Amino acid sequence: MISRKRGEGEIRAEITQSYNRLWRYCVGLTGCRDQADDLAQRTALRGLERSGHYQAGTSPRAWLFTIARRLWLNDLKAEAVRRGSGRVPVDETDLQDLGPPPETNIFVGEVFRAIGKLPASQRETVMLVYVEGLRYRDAAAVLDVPIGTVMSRLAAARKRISETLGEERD
Amino acid sequence: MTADEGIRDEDLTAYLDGEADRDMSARVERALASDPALAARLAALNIDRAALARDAEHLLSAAPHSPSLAANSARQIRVLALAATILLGAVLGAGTLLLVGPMTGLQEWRDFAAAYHRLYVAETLAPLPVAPEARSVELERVGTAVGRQLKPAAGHPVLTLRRAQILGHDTRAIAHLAYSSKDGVPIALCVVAITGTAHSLVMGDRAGISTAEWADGTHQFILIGAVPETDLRAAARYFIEAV
Repeated sequence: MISRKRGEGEIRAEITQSYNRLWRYCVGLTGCRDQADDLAQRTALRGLERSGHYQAGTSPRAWLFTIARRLWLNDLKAEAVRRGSGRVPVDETDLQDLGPPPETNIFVGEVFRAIGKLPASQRETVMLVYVEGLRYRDAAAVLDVPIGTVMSRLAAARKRISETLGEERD
Repeated sequence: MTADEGIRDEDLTAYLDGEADRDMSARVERALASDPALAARLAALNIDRAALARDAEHLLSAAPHSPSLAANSARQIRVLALAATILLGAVLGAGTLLLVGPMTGLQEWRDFAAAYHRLYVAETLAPLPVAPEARSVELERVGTAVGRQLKPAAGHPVLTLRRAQILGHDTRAIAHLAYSSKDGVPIALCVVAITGTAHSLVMGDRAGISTAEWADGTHQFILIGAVPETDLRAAARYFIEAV
């Protein structure tokens, strides 16, 4: 009972004090400011509503990111069903890339802009590890993939970003 | 045998990110010292994380403010309790604020939902447009908040959906769907995600208004309206099947 209250308290605190980080992560997911606004709000609401499921003393931020991610994937699925004749991509990575490309100028700055050009699965991994500073293990938990997948996505992202920036400089 | 045999790009990435274990770090460092090809691979993986951190920091300042949460739930409870008080006072006459009957037992979400619904009159819903596309988008958003597919709620044979919104009680999201009956009487369907025992339809009243309630183990439902019990029961049937 006590740890439930504590857990709820942690989630509330994370939402009120670090909402900008949650929102930024939603920008990384959606690539669109309006959708990020909406997704962040729904995540906060859902996070509070389900705060009884959060284990106090772990990471409220990672937990909220997981919720944001699930809501976003549901949105993509619903959109895919709406657009296609009920055929939904089996693979989550296919699903992610059905979304529109990021809105122009949302990722400002040379390196950040290069991230905006990554395939969605690499982009969201980079957001967690290089932008939010999550350890590989925690990112793997949020993404629900093995650590090896986190590593290979990051390696691929690094190569791509490095190439993109190299081209732009030439 | 080349020195970098067995060192993959993933390992180099882990090394660059400080996530490689001691053995791997030692191997990479030894190999780097002797193998220029490895150094070239490392360079191909290089990104300016400091620059990225700075760029990402700027994005933080563009963030909107968090929705005010703590304030909302406490305030909503007070507003609802006050609403019920005012209504009851009006019904009984000024100065007669009985704290029995509908006012006591305002403890759980369904009591608050019923008290809130008592504020609704035909005029409340009259100005709301009935455009189906707008309803669909609202239902999706509201449904997500409570974890339930609510689109079928728009298809009631006799009740017309006027608005779907999210209310809150404590930390719970309440899906509040406002309907008007054929005679313009406001009827509300409220849905909350609560795991627990399922139960079939129960007719009753809360806060002085008729209710029809049921639960399916993952969600609790309440249909509220100042209509005869038989009508409310009949109206509930559709929702029990379809939602």
